[in-house]
Amino acid sequence: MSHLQSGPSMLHLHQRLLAYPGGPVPIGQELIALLHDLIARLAPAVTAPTLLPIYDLPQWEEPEDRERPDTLLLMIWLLADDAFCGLTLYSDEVVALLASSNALMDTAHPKLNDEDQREELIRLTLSGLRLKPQNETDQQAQDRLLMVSSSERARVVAASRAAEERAESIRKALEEKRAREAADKYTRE
Amino acid sequence: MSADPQLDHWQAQWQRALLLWSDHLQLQEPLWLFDVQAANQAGLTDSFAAIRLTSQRVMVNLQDITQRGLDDYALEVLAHEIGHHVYAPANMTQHLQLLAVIRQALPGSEQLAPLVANLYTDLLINQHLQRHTPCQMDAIYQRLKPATATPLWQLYMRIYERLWQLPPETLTSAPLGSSEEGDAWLGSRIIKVYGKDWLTGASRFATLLLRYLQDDEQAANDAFGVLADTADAGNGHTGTGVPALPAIDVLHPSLDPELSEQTPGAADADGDCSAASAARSAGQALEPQEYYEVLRAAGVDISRHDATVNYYRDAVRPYLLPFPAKSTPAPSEPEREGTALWEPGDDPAEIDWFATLLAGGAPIPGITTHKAVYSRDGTEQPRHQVCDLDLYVDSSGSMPNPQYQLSYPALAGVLLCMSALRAGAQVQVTLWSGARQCLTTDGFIRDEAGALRVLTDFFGGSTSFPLKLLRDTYAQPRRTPTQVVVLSDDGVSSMFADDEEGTPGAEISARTLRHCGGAGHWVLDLPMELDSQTGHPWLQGAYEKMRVGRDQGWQVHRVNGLEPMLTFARRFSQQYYQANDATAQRATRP
Repeated sequence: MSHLQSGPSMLHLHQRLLAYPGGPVPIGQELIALLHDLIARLAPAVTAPTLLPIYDLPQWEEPEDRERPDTLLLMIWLLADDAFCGLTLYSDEVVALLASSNALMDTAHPKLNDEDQREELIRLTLSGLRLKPQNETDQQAQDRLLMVSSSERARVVAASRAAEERAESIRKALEEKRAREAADKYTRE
Repeated sequence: MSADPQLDHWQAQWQRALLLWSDHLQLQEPLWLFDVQAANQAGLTDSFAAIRLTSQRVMVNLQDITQRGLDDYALEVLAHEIGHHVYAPANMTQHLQLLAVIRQALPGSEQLAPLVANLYTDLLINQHLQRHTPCQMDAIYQRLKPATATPLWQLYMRIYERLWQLPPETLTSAPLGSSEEGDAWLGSRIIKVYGKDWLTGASRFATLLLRYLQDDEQAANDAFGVLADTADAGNGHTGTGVPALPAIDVLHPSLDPELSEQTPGAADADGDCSAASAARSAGQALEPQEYYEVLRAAGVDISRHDATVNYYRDAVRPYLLPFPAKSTPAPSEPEREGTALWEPGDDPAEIDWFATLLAGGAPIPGITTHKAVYSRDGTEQPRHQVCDLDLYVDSSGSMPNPQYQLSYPALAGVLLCMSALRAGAQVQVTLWSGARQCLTTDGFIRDEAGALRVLTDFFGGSTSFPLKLLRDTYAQPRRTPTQVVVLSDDGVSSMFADDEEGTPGAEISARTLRHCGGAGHWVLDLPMELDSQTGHPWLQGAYEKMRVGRDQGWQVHRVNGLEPMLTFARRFSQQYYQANDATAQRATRP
């Protein structure tokens, strides 16, 4: 039995992200207005207390670079797509997702031209709202989220690097041994 | 339509496969092979399909296809092979570059570069086909799944699983450990990030695979034999170009900030990246040894010596200039001025009978006989006569072996030879080292390959100038002016020893300069000027002999180090090419 609601297709959401219009990053009142509109659109039954966490976001301050969108803004852009209208979404989940957005990935400013980072952002968004991409099973959605997960990736890449360091030290030891043997042979001759 | 339904099916898929890459792509139909014998004759032994970059042909072993249960994947197989022709490696130059880059990233396992190149280009092509066409490349690998998989096979399949978001163990046969999962993720990132700059990606990919290859080299070759469709892609290659290599820093992908955000020091990686980019744009050259091994890795059937000849021929091509020519007066056309009396004692052939009969009466010698009088027009044009080249290259132990490392004496020699031959001159090339270590062309020849084969050989012995050859060559004056050039170091002083008949070398040397009709040049790698005190008693004698040579008329060009020999060769050709009569005279023997 499926526990996840079917959402938009991955292809559509990739295209949505690639169509991000750019421009200065909204802050302060502009951002609050955006968030209010978005949440009210996705979950019309939202109440004022539910919205409280969004006031604790650090994005109210002037960012260092107003041209680079952060995860929160990209998520807002993604969720503003018409494909999310008509889905059953819960305001507390939407708010929780948006409030924690900038801590979900290992980078606060995902690169839109990086397919893996787009994929991770989309899957994290869908997962946070208990959605799965269109035409995917729950298991596939979970497996694929794990595949692109930053934290999982950091773990396996660290293991890969450690293995490579071990292999490199073995290679160096072998090289030194060969050099010593060659020198011994030269001396004998 | 043929009587073979399998062949009909594959032929029908060929056009579809071409269209997957481009509407305008035209390739000749594959070579369809129907049995083991035909496949062996075509050189298709391990894999069920292969390409040849030289003939731009695809080969398919239909019997093997059936045995492996791949009959339903004609589109996938054919589109994949076409991908090798149009995407990676696409042509012989890029194939050689790819192999060279991969070899640099596989220290100690360079012989596996063809395997790695094959795996890497397959990944690039399959990723494109799986993502952008209806091809089901994953289905092929499911069919090829072995009963027991090597760690390398597992890694390779896991990379595909990650690229195509397939559930674990779709193509792999067991779950992978953390480090292997990390490698698989990095492998998939290489394909995604370096899809366009795929030479850099190839270096990263090879570094990633290195520890798997070193663990079990033979198993790696055995496991992937079936996929080796580019192993002999260069078969039949006859080109001579040496590929220029981009300077790619060899780096494990886990340390590449382009691939992993978690790279240590990624925050300040921008500076490193720009430095790397700058280095990359600078490029680098292959050594002759590497060039030969890259050609062999590409499946090119060539000897080391022939590869060396190609290497040097290509290396000097940018510097080629016409060879120096000596100006000699050209005879002008005689012009008839009139007639004069022919008298007895003059040559009877000179009688102008028409003028004699026109004067009337019977011809009376000395009275009515006339002869024509001619004069020159007085506008003599200098004629350019091309000097022959007699080249003596020191190949003793103090010189580098041109077949293994870049040898500037060989390079300078090739430049002089090719310039001379291009200008229409003949060359005699002699490689010399110790006694009886002398290799020479069959006299003065116009065969470029023959001359270059001598130049790129090597002795590496002691030093003894080939006086007998010099003596025989200049026993009589040369009909064609000849430039005699010796590329050596202080070993040239052996020219002043006695030859095997007891003739003093100084005498042979002087006769050479008298009879060559051109000039003699010594291009010597000497630690100090000829007139300076050497401070080394063992050098003192050699220097004294060289000073005798200079006094005889040898033009001594001291080059400090071997590389300036090439500079000399360039200047030598350029100077004579641009020379007027005065400078041409200076170039000849005083």
